[in-house]
Amino acid sequence: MATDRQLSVKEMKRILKPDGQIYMSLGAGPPFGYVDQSEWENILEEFTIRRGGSYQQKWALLSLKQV
Amino acid sequence: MLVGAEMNAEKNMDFKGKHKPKKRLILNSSGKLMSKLIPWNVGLSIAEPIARLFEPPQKLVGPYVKRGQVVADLGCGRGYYTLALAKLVGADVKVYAVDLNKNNVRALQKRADKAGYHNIEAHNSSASDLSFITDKSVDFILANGLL
Repeated sequence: MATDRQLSVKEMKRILKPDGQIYMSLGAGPPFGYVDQSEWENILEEFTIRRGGSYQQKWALLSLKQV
Repeated sequence: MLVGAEMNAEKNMDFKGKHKPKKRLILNSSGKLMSKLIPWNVGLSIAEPIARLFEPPQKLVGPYVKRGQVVADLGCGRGYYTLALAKLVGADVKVYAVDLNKNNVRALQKRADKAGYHNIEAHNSSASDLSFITDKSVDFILANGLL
């Protein structure tokens, strides 16, 4: 995962309330976008997927993983 | 109405020669340069009403946002979703809007003032540095096309 995107995900996790939600979507895949399938899957692994999530759909509704 | 007003304001600025709006490079599907002449903000002003027909902002965020929730729009652009979020959460709740592009943030602030949304806190920043937002304070994050 590119450093800037990694930091963005980290910041999202930091500011989100434990019961909060994130709507995350990708603009486009490579070559027009930056996030490929494996990076998308790595990002999603950091969260609980509520809805969506496939690389074809390119969006997901996420919440924090409950510890 | 807003679009027309914005475009007129832009024309006036051009006419008076105060500053020239930045040009936006537009590529077609084969990657060729179509035009270097459309100012970025005029291009977006035309695109937004069309987007509104196919993807109304309330349709995307409406199911997830409730009145009174603190929200953050990361990569907010000129506020296409931010204004809808501000309307949904109510006037007394904070809406954080973050964009890396200074012009977008300025345009959003202008639009928010005009529409009377004083609960929007716009920041010119990367989503990788949200130090102005405290830990565990946001109910809903919109990161639409951010990554």
